[in-house]
Amino acid sequence: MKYFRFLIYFVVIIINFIFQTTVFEAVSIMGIKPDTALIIVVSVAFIQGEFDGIVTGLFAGLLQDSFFSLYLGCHMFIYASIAFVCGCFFKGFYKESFFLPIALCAAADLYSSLVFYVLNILLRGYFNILGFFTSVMLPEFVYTMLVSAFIYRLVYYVTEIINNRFGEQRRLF
Amino acid sequence: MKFINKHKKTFFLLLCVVCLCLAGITTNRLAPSIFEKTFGFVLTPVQGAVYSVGNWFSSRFSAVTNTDDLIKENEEMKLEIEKLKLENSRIELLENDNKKLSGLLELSEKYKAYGTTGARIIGKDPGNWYDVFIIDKGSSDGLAQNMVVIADGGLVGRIRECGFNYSQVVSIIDDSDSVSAVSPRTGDTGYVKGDLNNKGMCKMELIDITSKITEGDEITTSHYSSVYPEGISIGKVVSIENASDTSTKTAVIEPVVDFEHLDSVLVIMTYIDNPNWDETETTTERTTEEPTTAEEETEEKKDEDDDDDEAGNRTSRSRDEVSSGQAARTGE
Repeated sequence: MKYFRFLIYFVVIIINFIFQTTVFEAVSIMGIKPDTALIIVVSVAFIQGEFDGIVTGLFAGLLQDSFFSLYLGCHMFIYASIAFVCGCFFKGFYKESFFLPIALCAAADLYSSLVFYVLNILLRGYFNILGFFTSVMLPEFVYTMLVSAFIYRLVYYVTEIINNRFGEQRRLF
Repeated sequence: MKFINKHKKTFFLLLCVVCLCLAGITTNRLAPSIFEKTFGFVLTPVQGAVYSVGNWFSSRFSAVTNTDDLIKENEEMKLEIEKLKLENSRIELLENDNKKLSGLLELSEKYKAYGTTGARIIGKDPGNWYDVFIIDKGSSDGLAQNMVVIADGGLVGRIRECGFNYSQVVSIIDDSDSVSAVSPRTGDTGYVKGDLNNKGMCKMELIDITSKITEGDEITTSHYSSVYPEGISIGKVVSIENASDTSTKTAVIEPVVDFEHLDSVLVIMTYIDNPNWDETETTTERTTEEPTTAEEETEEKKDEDDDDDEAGNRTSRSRDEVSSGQAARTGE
């Protein structure tokens, strides 16, 4: 039962993926959609620690890569590295506060678009990063930051249920 | 867990290496990998259901808000149908003429009719860079890699990856794929690919600097491509500019297909000579010509023709006449 929580993360990621690929077209603003998988990965890493975060991130990345990428591994790497860094904030921060997770999501989204740009676009010879920054990265950054407050709250509830039912109680001090 | 906590850096490095290896292995893969197969098989039915539910709601919502627009659009469309009917009958005559004349010239048919199958879009790329989507038919329905996808009379893209019950379609507004294109009016060729800086538009690159291509010109697929059949409409030229290397031009193209509201597409499965093709006879192979059977057919048709000539029924079989003519000439 100790590892039962991973099953719940996977289910959350799959549900999120299905929503992202189907009905998110309706909430896109000027063709830009928020990256909710990234918010979930950041939230899990921040609330539950880096190991949980990395496993969630790898799964989310694998799911996205296997459906929509030219090769596997790109989003896996991005999400896992984000979870690795966000896991460093696991100890010593209150999980109830909103500010840090939102800031983490925002930073992670910038990092994610930048790495994706370098790995997939720059290497094919498109150098005008400023154009992409204003047309894709910045709108996605703002949109993801706005959405992250709600998603973080949802993930927080889910992890609370997991910890109450299956895991040991989290000790703050 | 404890081991990982102790050797964080090693663990992270290992992870990077694994991702890199995976990327190396899976680039340029021909068949979908095991992950893709399983995820695709399990998730695509759910995606299809959720997508259609979402579509139902959005269509109800838009129906309520735009009733006036719909009525207006309906009237316009009725007018257009009348126009198209008229044009269609004219084209039919032209086609008959064309067949007769090209038969006389012993030309093979240039624009072949396509055998198509319909498919629904069930998922779109969650990222903001690429324009890839998933349709609800795969190899179990006879689809295969590199089959061409069309909609609204225009080119949508091609199948990049074909799973058992789903296919991944890369669209022409995606910049990772390009189509060999031509302007039928001026005969200038180039390559059409997606424009990353101008979402939803395409750009046609490598047009000759001396070309007389202008705004409003239609762009279609060219005969150079081994994937795309010739003569499928891609879009219209919106603007033209000189490329940075000044020896070529670049044109911005607005696609015919409305990618924002696309929810069902047609996949071209076979190229066939007979326009009265029945969809139930779908074959998975994309054979264009079968010399042996074609010869047999002409002989059979010749025999039929002789009988028909006696009956004097000439109007309905211009096509047969041509083939019998060919057979007669080859006999000589």
